[in-house]
Amino acid sequence: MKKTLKIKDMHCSSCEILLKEAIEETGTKVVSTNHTKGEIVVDMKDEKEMVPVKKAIEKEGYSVA
Amino acid sequence: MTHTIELPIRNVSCEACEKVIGRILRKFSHAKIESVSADAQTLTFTCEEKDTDTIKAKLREYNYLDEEKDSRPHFSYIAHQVIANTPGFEAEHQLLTHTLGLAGLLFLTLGLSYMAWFSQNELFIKIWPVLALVPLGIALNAGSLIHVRHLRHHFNCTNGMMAGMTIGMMSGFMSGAILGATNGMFVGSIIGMAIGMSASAYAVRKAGIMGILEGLMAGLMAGTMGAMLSVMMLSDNLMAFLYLLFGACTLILGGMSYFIVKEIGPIQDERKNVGFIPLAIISVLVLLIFLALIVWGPKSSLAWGSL
Repeated sequence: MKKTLKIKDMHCSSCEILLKEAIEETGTKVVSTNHTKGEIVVDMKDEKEMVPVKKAIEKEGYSVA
Repeated sequence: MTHTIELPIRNVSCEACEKVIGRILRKFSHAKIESVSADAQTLTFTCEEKDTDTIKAKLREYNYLDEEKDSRPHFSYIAHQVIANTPGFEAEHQLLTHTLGLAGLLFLTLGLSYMAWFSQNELFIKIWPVLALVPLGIALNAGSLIHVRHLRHHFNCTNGMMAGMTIGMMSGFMSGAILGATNGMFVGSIIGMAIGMSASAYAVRKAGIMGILEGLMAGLMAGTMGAMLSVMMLSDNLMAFLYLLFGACTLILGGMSYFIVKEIGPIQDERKNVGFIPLAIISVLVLLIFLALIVWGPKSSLAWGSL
């Protein structure tokens, strides 16, 4: 299932690269990133994947709205 | 072996950018960031020499490498490439060796001329420091002129104007000053002007009318100015002035060649070879004409008498 995550303080292409790599390291696939909208679309098998994804995002200094 | 290099970067504005660059470098052993300046848009890092190109390719892939600035290397880099005859700079290396060889040949010609014609002439002894500048001036201007000629087809309006002006001004100034010092204002101005104007027009011909016009104006101005300054300094430190002038002109001509390589790149076209023989014949003829003018030209004794 595809899920859109609203990310706070994502403002440039580097943020997109950083978060994409961090999320994919958890095993979740990133479908698209858009720093102007502050959105990342991920493809998850189930809701359980949200926990490590959120952790990975927060580890990089961002937060999920 | 590791080394530290500085690269021009772009799109680096925040901590995230630095983190991404850090991640790129972490993939290479011994590679680490030394500093990232968002203001100066420069990245300094240490890495193994063999990894440099791969790291640059990675930075390029992430759109961090400022291609335009990176492709415009510094003076020391270009000078090293030319002197070391690095692939891609063979024509410039050949031009440099030809210019040095030409200077040697012209000094030899001057020495032979002295033995053949001038050794009995007391006035020659008085003006030998001026004569020693002539081979240097001819070799420098010939080398620069050929460099411009080889790349003139690639000039835009600004490059053409800059090259035309530099060649016109330097050749006009040098010849005007030498002939002004030895032959007075009239001969110095006329010949300085003619040399400056014709050298610049020949150098940037087919590079656009603006370059030609700029060169003609510069030649006219420098030819007369060089002669005028020399005549005005006949009762002052003329010799010191001439040597300082030639030193400054040498720096400017070197700067122009650097500017051309930086803006356009090395000589790449089919006319890579710089023929030494025609260059040497023309330069020796120019030297002999200069010597003849200095020794037998009008007003020469008047000017010499004041040296």
